This record gives sequence, structure tokens and C-alpha cells, in this order.
Amino acid sequence: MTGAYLALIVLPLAIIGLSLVVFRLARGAGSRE
Amino acid sequence: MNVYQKLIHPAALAVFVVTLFLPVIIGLLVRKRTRCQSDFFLAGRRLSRFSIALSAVASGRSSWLVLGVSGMAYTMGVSAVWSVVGYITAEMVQFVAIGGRLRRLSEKYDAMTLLDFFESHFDDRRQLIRRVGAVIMGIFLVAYVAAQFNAGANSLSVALKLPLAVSLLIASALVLAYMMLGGYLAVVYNDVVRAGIMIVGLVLFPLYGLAKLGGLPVLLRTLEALDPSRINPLALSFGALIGFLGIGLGSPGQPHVVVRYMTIADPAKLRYSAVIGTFWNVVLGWGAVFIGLIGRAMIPDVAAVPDQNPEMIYLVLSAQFFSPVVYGLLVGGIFAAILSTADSQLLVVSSTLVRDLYEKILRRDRPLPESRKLALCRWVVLGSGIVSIVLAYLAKDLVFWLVLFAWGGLGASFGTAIILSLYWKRTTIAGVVAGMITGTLTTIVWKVLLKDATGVYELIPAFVLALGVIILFGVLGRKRPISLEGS
Repeated sequence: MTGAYLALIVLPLAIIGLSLVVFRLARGAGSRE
Repeated sequence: MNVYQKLIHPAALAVFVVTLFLPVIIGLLVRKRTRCQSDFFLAGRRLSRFSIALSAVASGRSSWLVLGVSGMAYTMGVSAVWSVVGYITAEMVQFVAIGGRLRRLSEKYDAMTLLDFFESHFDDRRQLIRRVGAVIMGIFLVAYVAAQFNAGANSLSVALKLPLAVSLLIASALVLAYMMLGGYLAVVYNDVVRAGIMIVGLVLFPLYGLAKLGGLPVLLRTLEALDPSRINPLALSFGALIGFLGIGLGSPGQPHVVVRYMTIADPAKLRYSAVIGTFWNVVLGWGAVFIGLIGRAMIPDVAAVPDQNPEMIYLVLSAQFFSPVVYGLLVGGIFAAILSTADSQLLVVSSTLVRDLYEKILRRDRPLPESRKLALCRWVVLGSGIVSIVLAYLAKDLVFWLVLFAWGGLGASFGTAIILSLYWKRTTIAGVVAGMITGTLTTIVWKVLLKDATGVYELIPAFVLALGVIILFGVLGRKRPISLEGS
């Protein structure tokens, strides 16, 4: 049951969180360019 | 059982028909903003971060998401989530990693197509990349468009009880009308509207289903009681897991998605598109998975699903759960998914014919007057649309055979070339051409001869081999490095 919660709730939130990390990294890279 | 029978209700039919015709109205509205060839293919490179994000999401997702992923979740259970993780992650990264550089360089080169970009980037005076790339792109994308038209026509034929030929003409005429009117701008704005329709379906549906069942814990307990493996996210083979994640390798090579990055007004804003696009990709992907899980909990026996086809679960539950108005919108969502992919691919086919073949190869020494270019674009859209319709009707088997290789073939041949062109100075013309051919051939050979024996998804070896070939040519052949900032 825990695995299902991780896959259905935590995993999508983690991917959205990762997109915010990509956003921050891209801002840093953009300012360097 | 006809899963579309609820469309008999006048309210359902009215909403459904509105979703079909709305794109033509959008085409009419943006017609006057399409004044030259650059407007027709790139919307003058002035689109917003929201339009780019939602358009990339909608055009990248076909009926595979709405019907295919929900069907997979019905069959496999929670482990079907891995089918959406690969492409969502890849598209998130490529918004910024590929999009920014490609947008800046394509403007610098005045490139309207991906092949324009390659030719200028490598100063390819013999036009090798353009010629080989146009053939690969043309074959796969025409097959893709024909298959999408066929899928749309089949659904329309069942839904409205029309002969297949009539449905095919209606489905394709609706797409061609707004494309000829408004070109890329009409395509993008329709993508945004269609993404909205898909979002309504894939958000409303799971929420309503969960509420009806009594919440997520009840859903999971019901699935566990049916078969404990249905709630185990790792209840799939290692090969299947890698195959699902490997779907993402195809994303950077889909020309109809990648070309969107070239059209944002400010490339620095692509990082916002990455967040917006990822959020909605996640909502749509997990929405489709939840629909399959809810479907299994409510209809445990697949024999109760029409044609015993799990991919029908979206339509079965739509008819059971919702009022005619919402049902009409949800069925419209399927067509939105199908047609938003078809129009984007058709526009790339047209730009390949007009720009890459006619203008840049056949009339290389006799430039076409700007006044004639726009009219030519419109007629070529119509012509390539008609070819796709004929193929969809007369050469269905060939079309579906080619489409089996399209995602992998485009991903391996163009994805590797784009990534290395943007990031590796030693990439060569010969390497890119050899990589494109290697990627295409490996995809076909692996799928036909080795996929069953190895259980490995063809895109993975094709991508690795194409990448290796480009690197090999670069290591052996490049004497003067290319400029990654543009020549």
C-alpha cells in the first residue's frame, strides 16, 4: 500500500518539484550566458 | 455495446460538435495575423511561455494518453505510472536544455525548420543533412498524420454512425480548414484550447471517480482485494520498466514538438514553460492512470468492457458517470488529443516540403518572391493533407506499419543529432547524416528482429548506436570545431 501511495502521490509531486529545480538551474545558467 | 451511444442526447451532441468546430473559428480569428511565411510556420517567433508550454503538451500527447495509458493502468495497475515518467522528465529538461539554445541559434540563422538549423549550423553547402533528414522526417510524419486521421475518423465513425470515408473527410477537413487559415498560430491556439479540454477530462474524471468510490484508500483496498500486484508500482519486469522510461528518449527528436521552442518570443522564458508544461503533463499523465485504476475497481471483469478492450474504459466510465453535456466534452477530449497531434505533424510535413525541398533545394538559385510564399504554404498544407487522407484510407496497413517505428525512429535519428549539435563542438555533417540513418535503421531492424527475443524497447539501442556513430565521426573526422554560439 505504501508503494502505491508513493507512486500515485509522492512521485508526481517529486517531478513537479524537480521542474522547479530545473527552473532555478536554468535561471543560473541564463545569467551566466 | 456502442460506447458513444450517449451522444444521441442532443446536449451531448451539441457540446461534442462545438468541440469539433471551435478550431475553425479560432483559425478564422487569427487569419489576419498570418501575413508571411514566417508567420505561417513560426507565428513570427512571438509566442508566450504559456502558449508554448500548453502547445508542446497537447501536440506531444495523442490518444495514446487518454485511451492507451488508462487502458494500461486498467490492465497493469499502479505500475502503469512508469509509462508517463520518462517522457514527462525528458520534456521538462528539454524545454531549457534544448529549447533555449535552439531558439537563439534558429533566429540567428533565420532558420524556419529544424533542417534549416542543421544546414546553417554546420555550413552544409552540399545540403546532405537537409536531403537525408527530409526523407526520414517525411516518411515518418506523413505516416503519423495518416494514422491520426485514421484514428480520428474511426472514432467519429462509431460515435456518429457515419461511413468511415465520410468521417475521414470530416475529421481531416476540420483540421485543414483552420491550418490553411491561420497556419502555426491557429495550430498553437487550438492546442491551448484542446489542452484545456483534455485537462477538464483527465482532472474531473478521476476526482469524480474517487469521490464516488469513497477516496483513494478505498480504491487501493479494492484493487488489492482483486489482485495484490495491482497496487505494487514495481510489479513489472525490469525490461518493461526500462522500456517505459526509455519512451522519454524519443521526446527530443519529435520535430513537431521541438519546433515549438523556436517560436517563443523570449527564450529566457522557456524555464517558465518547463514548469507549466511539466505541471500539466503530470496532471494529464496521472489523471489517465487514475482513470484506469478507477475503471478496474468499478468494472473488475474485462469481459464487461466493450470488445474486451481495456482502452475503452475512458469511454465506458464517461457514459456511466457524467451528464450528457460533460460526456460530450469528454468525448471531445479524445478528438482534441488526436487532432492536436495531427495538425502539428502536418505543419512540419508542409514546412519540409515548402522550405526544405522546394525553396532550399529545387529553387535554390531562384528565390521565391515573398508574396507567393504564403499562398504556396496554404496550398501545400492542403496537398499534404489530401495525401495523408488518401494514405489513411487506401494504405492503412502500410501507415500503421510505419507508425510502429515513428516515435523511436524520429527520436533516435533527430534527438541525438539535435543534442550533440547543440552541445558538442566536434559534431560533423557526416556524423549527423550517419547518425540519422543508423537511428532509423536500428529502430526498424531491432523492432522486427530483436525486440521479442531481447525484450528491449527498440529506441534504446537505436538511440545509443546513433549517438555512438555521431561521436565516432566527430572523433575521427572533425578538424575544425563548430561554434556552439552560431557561425
